[in-house]
Amino acid sequence: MTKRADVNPSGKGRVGGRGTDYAALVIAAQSGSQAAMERLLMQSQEVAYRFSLLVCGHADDAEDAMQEALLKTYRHAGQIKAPEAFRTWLYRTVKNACLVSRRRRAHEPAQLASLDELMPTADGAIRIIDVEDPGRRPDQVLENRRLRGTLRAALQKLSPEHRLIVFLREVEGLSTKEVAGVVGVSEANVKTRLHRARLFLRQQLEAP
Amino acid sequence: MKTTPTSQDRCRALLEELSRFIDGELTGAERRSMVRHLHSCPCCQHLAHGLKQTVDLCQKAGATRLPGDLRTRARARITMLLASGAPARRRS
Repeated sequence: MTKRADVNPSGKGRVGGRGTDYAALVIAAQSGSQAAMERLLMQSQEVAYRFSLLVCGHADDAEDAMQEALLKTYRHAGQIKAPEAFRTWLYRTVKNACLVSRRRRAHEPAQLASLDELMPTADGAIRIIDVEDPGRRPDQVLENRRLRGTLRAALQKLSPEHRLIVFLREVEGLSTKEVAGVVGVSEANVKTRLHRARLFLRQQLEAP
Repeated sequence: MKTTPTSQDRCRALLEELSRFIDGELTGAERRSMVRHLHSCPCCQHLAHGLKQTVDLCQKAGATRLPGDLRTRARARITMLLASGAPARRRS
């Protein structure tokens, strides 16, 4: 059965890549819906921005990546024959746009965490992390802002591959299979690395 | 000499399964076993809670919006691109 092509092409009320029905947007765009095409093009730029910020760690590179993602999405959207494959194509494209020509920067952490050697321990109490939406109380807003900053800093301590897996799976909500397809490793490998990365991030978020 | 698993061994073994627990990938029996252990082991319970909160925080990062100036420029690029050529359509 073909998916409906007119699924919320404006994307109103939706923030971020999670829950976006890319296949429906592609079908709608190929059918001539300008609103769907605009939404696809905006989504591709938003993905490139989040990738630059959270995976590359350099928001100042974002605009180049956004432009590249925009052009490639525009060229590709009309050609794709399997709309359900668009999502993984988009993330592979953004990854290449952000990473392929990138050279290691001087201020990247010299030592990345070796998570394959990280063994979980059950010691010590855990501070409760407030992840409520900001906006209720100023102190909550500040705490959430601080945690997001801490998260970004913790992500930069992960190896690029662990960071990419966390980004795709946790931040963008891709399935394990989709992540494996983008990264080029097995699903079992994705799960193992994700677990190690989660443990490391938890540890970092709790550090005083 | 026969050895029995210590509680630390038990904790370590279950911690390796925590991500599957959080992701809802455990079987019914595995899940029940995990829940029983978490109820009886405050340390593991705290760790599981922290791990879940970490995952939630990462997921919230997916809602990061484009800053206003970047969004304005992103929209302008889309407008220019769509005005410059024919709309993309499926090849026949």
